[in-house]
Amino acid sequence: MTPDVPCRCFVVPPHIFEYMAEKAETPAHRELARRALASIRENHVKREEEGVRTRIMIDAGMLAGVIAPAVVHRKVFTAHNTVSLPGTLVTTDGVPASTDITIKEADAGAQKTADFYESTFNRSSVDGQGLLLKSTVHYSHQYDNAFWNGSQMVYGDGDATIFDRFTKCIDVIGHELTHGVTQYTAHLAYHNQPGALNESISDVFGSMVKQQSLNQTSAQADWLIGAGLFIPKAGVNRTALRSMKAPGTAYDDPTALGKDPQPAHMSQYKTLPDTPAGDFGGVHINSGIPNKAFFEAAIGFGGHAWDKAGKVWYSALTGGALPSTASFHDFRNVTIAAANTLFGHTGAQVVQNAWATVGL
Amino acid sequence: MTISWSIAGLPPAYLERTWRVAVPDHLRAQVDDFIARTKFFDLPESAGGNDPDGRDMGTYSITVVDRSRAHTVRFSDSTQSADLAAFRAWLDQNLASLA
Repeated sequence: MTPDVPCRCFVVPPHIFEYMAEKAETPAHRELARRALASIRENHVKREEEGVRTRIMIDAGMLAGVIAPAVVHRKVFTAHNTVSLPGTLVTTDGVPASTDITIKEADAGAQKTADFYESTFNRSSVDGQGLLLKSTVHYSHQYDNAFWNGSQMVYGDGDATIFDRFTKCIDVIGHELTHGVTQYTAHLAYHNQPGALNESISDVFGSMVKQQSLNQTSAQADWLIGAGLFIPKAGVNRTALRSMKAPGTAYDDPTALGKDPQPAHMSQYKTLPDTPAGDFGGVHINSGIPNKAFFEAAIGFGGHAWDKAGKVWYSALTGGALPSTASFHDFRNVTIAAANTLFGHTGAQVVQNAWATVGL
Repeated sequence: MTISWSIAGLPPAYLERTWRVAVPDHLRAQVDDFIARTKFFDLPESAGGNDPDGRDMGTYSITVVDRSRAHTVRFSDSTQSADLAAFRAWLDQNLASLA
């Protein structure tokens, strides 16, 4: 394969090949799967001997048409304003239809995010194997947050003074679900630079979910995360949680929120304690730096963010070359290499220039 | 009686925010009720952290100082009981404005 030939690489678990070896439609595909399995076993033995984690990369084109994407099912629960998870089941794949706006938004957001991953990256759900998407709404009382707990999404109603309901923004839903994708792929550690990359990747893909739902080009997009989540207040800036285009400018409300602390350049990187009180080394703060790099790459490529920049970032996340302890510099190098593989020297130059704008 | 409580990991600030309040007399009975319901002074100091694969989850602490007794409880979105969650929510609603 030459560097100029577009190539997507996936991490494929052996049981997929075991299934293909028996069930694939054509003899050629069954043989392909048998050879891949043999290669996995050979590599596994070798890597175990070398103490290296086993990851197998194959050309996604080889899989096209062989494995039909699994159907992604969705369930939405309500916690009835308690902290009990998952709570009471309300709807499965949108049935029965609910009149509760938070339930409708949670379900629609999960569906659009799953559709985005499938149509853009041929990925079935967060684990690549059609994992059921579970969402719980009305969590706790006036809870000002949304989170991924390792197996499902959880959304608070907001306090109605500073925050509106957390299902309101599809990019927030895409952000939380992408934490699941990262969990099943690069599994980036949740502290310091790998933690900030983890957060940034959730913003990157969450923003693309929103942009695709609005059919926006990179130039048309607002590049805001959580726009509309704050309850507006006269005289203060409550635009959004974060700005990927201009980190550090999303909000400025001295009495209620303070000022957006995100840096946009490595020269402004914030060294914080690796504790809950220090945001585990500023994972939600220093993510502004790789966020800005992705914005610059998307603008540099032009068109829709998911067509080129998104594919580069996805390849970096899922291709197996990114360690769970990756630094910003590691991620920079992996994205440049992925861009070279996918889009040749010109693509690599776009990504390299994007990282240079943030000091990397 | 004084109560201090903190949250960390929630947007938009993510860093720890702490409040400290002398409980007004007219709210004392409600605080006593939460202390009794949660068995606050019998709880371990740490209820444990968040799930290893949890992301964007909050962590919390509540400290109660009542004459000769003082106790701090640390918990998270993964480990909070319904009663502790209700106690924390009540503090936010009723005492935060006094801090």
